[in-house]
Amino acid sequence: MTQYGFFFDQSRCNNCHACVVSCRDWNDIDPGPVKWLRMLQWEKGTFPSLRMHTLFATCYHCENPLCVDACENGALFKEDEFGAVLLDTDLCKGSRDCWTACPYGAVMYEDDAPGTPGSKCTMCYDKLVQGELPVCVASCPQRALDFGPIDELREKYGELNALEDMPSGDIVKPAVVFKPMHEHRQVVPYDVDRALELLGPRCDNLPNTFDKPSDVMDVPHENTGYHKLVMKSSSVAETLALSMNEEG
Amino acid sequence: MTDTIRGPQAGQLERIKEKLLSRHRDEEISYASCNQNGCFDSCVLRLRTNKDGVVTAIETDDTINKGLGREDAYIDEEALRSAMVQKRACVRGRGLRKDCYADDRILYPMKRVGPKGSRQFERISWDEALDTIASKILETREKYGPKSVHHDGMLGSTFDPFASFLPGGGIACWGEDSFEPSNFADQVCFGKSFDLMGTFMDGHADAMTLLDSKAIILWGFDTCVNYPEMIWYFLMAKERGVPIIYIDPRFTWTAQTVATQYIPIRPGTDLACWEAMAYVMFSEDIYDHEFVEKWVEPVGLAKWRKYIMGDIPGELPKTPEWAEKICGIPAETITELARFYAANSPCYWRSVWNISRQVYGKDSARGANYLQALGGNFGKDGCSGANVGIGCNNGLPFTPFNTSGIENGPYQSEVCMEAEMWHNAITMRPDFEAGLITEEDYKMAIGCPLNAEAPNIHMLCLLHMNRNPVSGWYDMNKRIKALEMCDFVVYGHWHFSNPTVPYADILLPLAHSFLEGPYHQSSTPSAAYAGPAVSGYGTHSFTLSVSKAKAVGETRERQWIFKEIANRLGIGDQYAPTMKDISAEDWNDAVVEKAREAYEFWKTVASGFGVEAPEWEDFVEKPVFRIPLPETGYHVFMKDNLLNDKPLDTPSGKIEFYSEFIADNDLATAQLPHMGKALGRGQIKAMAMYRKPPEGMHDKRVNDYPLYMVTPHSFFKNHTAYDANPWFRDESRPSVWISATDAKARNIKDGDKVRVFNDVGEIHLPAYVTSRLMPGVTCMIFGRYYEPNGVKTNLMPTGIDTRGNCNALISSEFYDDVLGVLRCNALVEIQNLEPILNLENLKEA
Repeated sequence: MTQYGFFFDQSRCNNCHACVVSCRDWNDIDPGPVKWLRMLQWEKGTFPSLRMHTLFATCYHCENPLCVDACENGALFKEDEFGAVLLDTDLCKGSRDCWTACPYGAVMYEDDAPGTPGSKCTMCYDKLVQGELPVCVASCPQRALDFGPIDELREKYGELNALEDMPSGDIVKPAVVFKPMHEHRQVVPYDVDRALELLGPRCDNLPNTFDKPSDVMDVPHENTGYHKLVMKSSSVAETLALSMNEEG
Repeated sequence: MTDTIRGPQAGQLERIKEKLLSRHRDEEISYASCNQNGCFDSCVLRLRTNKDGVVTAIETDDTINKGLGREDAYIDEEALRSAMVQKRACVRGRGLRKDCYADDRILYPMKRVGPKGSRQFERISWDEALDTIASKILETREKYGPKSVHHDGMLGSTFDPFASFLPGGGIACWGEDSFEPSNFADQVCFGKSFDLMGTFMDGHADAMTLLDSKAIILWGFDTCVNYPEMIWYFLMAKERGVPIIYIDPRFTWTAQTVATQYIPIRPGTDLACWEAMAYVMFSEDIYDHEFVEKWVEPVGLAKWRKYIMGDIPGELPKTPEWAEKICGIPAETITELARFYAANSPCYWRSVWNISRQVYGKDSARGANYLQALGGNFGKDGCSGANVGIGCNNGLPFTPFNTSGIENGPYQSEVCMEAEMWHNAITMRPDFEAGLITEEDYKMAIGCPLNAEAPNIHMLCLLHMNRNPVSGWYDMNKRIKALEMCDFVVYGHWHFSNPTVPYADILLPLAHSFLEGPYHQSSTPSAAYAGPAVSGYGTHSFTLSVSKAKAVGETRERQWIFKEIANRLGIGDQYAPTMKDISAEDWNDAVVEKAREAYEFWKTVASGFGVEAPEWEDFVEKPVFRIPLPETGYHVFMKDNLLNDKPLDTPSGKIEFYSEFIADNDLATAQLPHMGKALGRGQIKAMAMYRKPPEGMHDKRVNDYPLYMVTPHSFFKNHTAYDANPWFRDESRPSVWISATDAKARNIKDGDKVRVFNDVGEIHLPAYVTSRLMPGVTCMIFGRYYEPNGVKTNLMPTGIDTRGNCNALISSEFYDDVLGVLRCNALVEIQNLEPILNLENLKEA
């Protein structure tokens, strides 16, 4: 068997969701919480020293798919030609044992009612057998995605199988390679402390925008949106909410 | 565990494979070119249609480099540099199917049967709709004169398709919604501006030339949202080591992904920063002497330099220390940025149009041109273009894509209004007629030149592009009032949920632009945009939409509607002589035939330039033609001037910092020497000078409304198009952005329902709490519908908005200083509604 996999370049991804919508379009998925592919974002740092992380979150068609082992109904299996992990919705009884086993929350459900059958990314198996790329990979306007035999991708792009804050891939061995976001650097000097001194007071003795730099540096991070990476949520509503962005 | 246990059961794979494959079997392929107004990239949409002519999927461009994922990992540098690459659509194009087949699609012509604003409509026939419209046009013109039916217009012209065939013409408008300040700046600095007839379609630079830049400096230019086709080339430049500095009050995705360094700036203060950069460049003598001596008019330059250096009475020197207090960028950074800029030419310097869409915005737009000139950053590979930045005409002629067969008539329309001022024209008219305001005041309020006859609008006919007056322009409440006051409103759209719909008297079902028919954008006789010259990349490609999808219901293509109305106005023979009898069923084929004629003509001309375009039959199968780069290389604005010593079209032949024309003329009557555009009113200085604007961060109104609201575009919309798309609503939360600092001060956490308000309007929606925003700044993304709740107030007589239409909070004030600027910002306050909601819940319990 040749295991195929994805490459995701976080340094190029701008969270535009073209891949997500392309996936829903090709797979004809109705509006609602089911997204076989989600784009996740999470924020770190305080103004103006920020990092916005993104993650191409889908089934990584693991080499050691614990979800398959967890299913007692034979609804999940790994096919041989591309190594795609496929979910047979006819046999799925909605036990969610697969979801529990998967570190990434790849299996999606229409609602929280017990017994609701799941569905998930097929690696665009139908496109693969016709010699085409998965629709998400071909869609990316930033060319941040690639696809191919995972050995070739690892040779080309390295071995990284988990981005910062992601669950470890050591056990499940996801068929994915990541390139992390780039570090910003000061092309011209920029003194953050001085900037915060300037940004508090307005001209002409008008009221301050804030009084002291600590008003900006010491803010409750947990009150901000998308403040951490959450790949598995407790409800479909939360899953949907966390897979959104703020239009920019 | 072994693989055998993990493999499929007998027949299982085959069953699933069949299920997957059956979804897209026996489908037809055709290609559309995504070109909703608001973006001119013309990306390729590969459409799959089933036997019923329904689009079942939209795929990626496969007309080149088929099967490549990370394209640049597989192609060589030459292919990248010559843009022999796919034109991949952004998320907007990929989600169009759900927009086209939405539940609320308008399928039949309708007339309103309830009161205005009621959404009570009844189905009527096309004949009844068209007969009514034609007779209303004639009746209104008969009663109130030729300037009584407004079809929208801009750039010195009208979108009224019939005006040039009817005695007296119609209403022409000056100004341009998107980039009037930039257009003005290019007019006074370079002596030319963009207009609808395509005479200035060379203001841009091919995106591939980003790879030639030594540095890239972007002022609010959020390519990730606004110029999606260019993002990849910015990334390619960055990955090849070109430093990219991005300056914006928001930490956008461009700040994260494209930028090497992010520098925050207070909104509306860019010009102050540029003046201080100029101060450094003058005082350290590091501006580009060679370029400036050759290309900048010296007397005006000297005047501006005096102003910058503080050598004129009453003016402080514009030092970095002066600027840092205004714009919030440390003086050290401003100084070093100026040095860095001066040392790294060619520099791709680009400011987003929105920087100048504020009071005094025309100064900002001119200032950007000045700085580019001081850096010598015009006309060279690696530089950007003029402030408008549209068009990359490499000398190849435009395709004469008169796909509608429409001719121009003999009657001229007089410029008598500024493009966005129809709401004032309608709402202030009764006061003018009652003698409560003078004719001069009325004209001044709508941008009517004092020597022109004012319009008297009694009918609105909004069928062009994707116009949505309720949420598409500032001052929503006044525009709703104008729609209510107007005698007769004709509106065409795709979606019944559109907020302008309830104010239509006749509602027409439009075909979904390029997805349901051959694409051409404009109703003006020359559809200039269909030429090879407009794209994010530049000249390198030429696309045509020839979708095989069938239009749903009784939806019709705009041009068919216009010619049917023209026939009923009795001007069919003049208006569309070759198309007047074409039925709706045959319309698309007839348009494609017109496109073929145009293509054949263009192909012949293009071969004279050494460009061998494919045969029509081959082209139309995969309607994307990638034009080889000419020997002169990339198109860059002014390159031709530099290479051939060709003077500019200004009076001096050089870039003008100081406009003698503005200094010497009364702008209430004077016509700018371009397309007969008069400014109508207002004050502007002969050269750009930073002034603290009303409704700015340093204005006394912050005492009441301390947050400066910016209103940038969305990933998921072109203007207001697609706001109802349910797929897109799954990808984005309609929110107001508030900085973590301001949220803390107001006890707001992410997701709390808040009240955003000022003395113009009020909106209730969730808060997005983030450190991505400068404290004191808030952000409401532009393009959302208006979805009122039942609570009607004095400020919001049709209900408080719950969707987040930023234009409910922006007024039409300060018109003296706006001068045609489409206002996009306001001062607001935000209050947490959760405590109130909790209290109400308690009461109910």
